[in-house]
Amino acid sequence: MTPAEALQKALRGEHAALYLYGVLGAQASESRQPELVARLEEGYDAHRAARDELTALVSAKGLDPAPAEVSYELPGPTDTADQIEAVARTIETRLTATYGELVASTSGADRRWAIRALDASALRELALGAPARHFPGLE
Amino acid sequence: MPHSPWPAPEAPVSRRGLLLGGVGLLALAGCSGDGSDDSGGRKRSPRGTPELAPDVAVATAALERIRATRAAVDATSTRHPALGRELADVTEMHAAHEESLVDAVPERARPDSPPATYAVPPRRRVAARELAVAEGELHATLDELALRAESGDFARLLASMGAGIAQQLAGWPQ
Repeated sequence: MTPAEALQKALRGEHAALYLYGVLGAQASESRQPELVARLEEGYDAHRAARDELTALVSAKGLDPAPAEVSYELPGPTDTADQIEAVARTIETRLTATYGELVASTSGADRRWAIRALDASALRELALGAPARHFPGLE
Repeated sequence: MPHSPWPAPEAPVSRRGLLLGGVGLLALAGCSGDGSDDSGGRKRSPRGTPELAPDVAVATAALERIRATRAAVDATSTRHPALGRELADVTEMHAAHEESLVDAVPERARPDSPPATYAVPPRRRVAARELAVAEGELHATLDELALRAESGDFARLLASMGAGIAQQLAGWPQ
């Protein structure tokens, strides 16, 4: 995968994450699940920032940033708070892997950015109840 | 129709495969000793011993730092057994990280002396805090080494180790 392809893939992942976090946030109850809502809001903000930064990185290479899709398929049911959290975990685990690929496909400042994004995603996995892993982004 | 995010990931990454493909084979550079490049393009030192390929040097540095931090965890666990039980997953993680690197480092490049003795603070809370500092330093080192790595896959392995440490630090015992 070329650096540009890897950046575009990560950007597509962030578009999806942003959309899906928006859906999850709308389905969680702030009065009954305040902690979950807070984590979803933090995640939403983080993914919006990552999307903007990736858009800038892609644009700086003279490329057209990958656009967002109209909608995205939820990777699981969202009828309960546990299910909502599980879907958010799935989103983060997939993004962690995507950032692992981005580390492998880039160098220099882009790789430095990818390493930070990998760390951040691995930590969000954990905050959403995933177990710590020995090799996040690789396994 | 909703779009399915994240196209299928690339084939699962085998850590051993990463090393054999990205670093391990470099570590097995031949040693005929005429000071020229051999058929694999590996540079040789004037004295006939092959120079370590850049990523082997990175792997060697990573292995050394991981072993030193692992020794610090072991010493702390011995001095403070209850804390040691809480650090069991950290110990396991370091062992997994070390195991993934050993094959990448030729025997002659491995540190031949044990890591420096780690002075464990007598108070548990301080010991836990000091160890967290050491883990944070290892994390930073692995990230820097990931930036230096020429092999992208090897960079991913090192960055992944760093992220694993970040996860452990997020739940660090007090």
